[in-house]
Amino acid sequence: MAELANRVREAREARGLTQAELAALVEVSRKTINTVENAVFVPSTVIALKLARALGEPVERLFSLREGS
Amino acid sequence: MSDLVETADRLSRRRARMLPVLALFLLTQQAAFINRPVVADLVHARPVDQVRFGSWAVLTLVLLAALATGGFWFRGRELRALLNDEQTTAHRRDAMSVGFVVSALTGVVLYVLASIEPLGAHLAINLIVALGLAAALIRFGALERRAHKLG
Repeated sequence: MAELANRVREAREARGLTQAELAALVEVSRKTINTVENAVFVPSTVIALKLARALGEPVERLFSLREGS
Repeated sequence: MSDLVETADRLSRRRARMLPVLALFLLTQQAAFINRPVVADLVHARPVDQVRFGSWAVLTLVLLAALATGGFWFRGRELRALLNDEQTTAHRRDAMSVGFVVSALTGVVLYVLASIEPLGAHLAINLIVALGLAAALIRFGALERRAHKLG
């Protein structure tokens, strides 16, 4: 089964943002950013698009499908 | 907005710690119902029984409202939105599913037990509501605490 992989942490750190700062830009809790980065929580399309906008990257570069074994 | 995120983070951690504790408090209150006879006529009951009945009902309603809405009713709209963001509502849905299953299972167990030993309606309703609500609160707290710990 395919899993959702993401490079939100990498993109956030490249922009020099803390989790709290990114959370403020996206208008979600820091906990949500934290769990998205750790691939524990799969965000909705709306949050994914907000993350992409806040990080200045296309959403398909932030999120991708990883085929499971 | 960053300050708001920090405040929401702090309050969310507090909520994740408090709700399971209150769930355990609700369960300990059950002992008062199990060990005492059912009050059939609350209007003419002893004041101590009226208080016992009333306090259980109030605590249950407050906890149910806190779980269903996220609590912090006197805080600002923006802060409450952060405290009830997408992930929190997902945790709440999960917790309520667990609570529903526990309530239904409790009902089945009591149904079987009632055929062996008669049970009062008050006690049965108490147990179904309290166990289901407590399970949901504990599950919600556990999911929230795990999410906070990941950082």
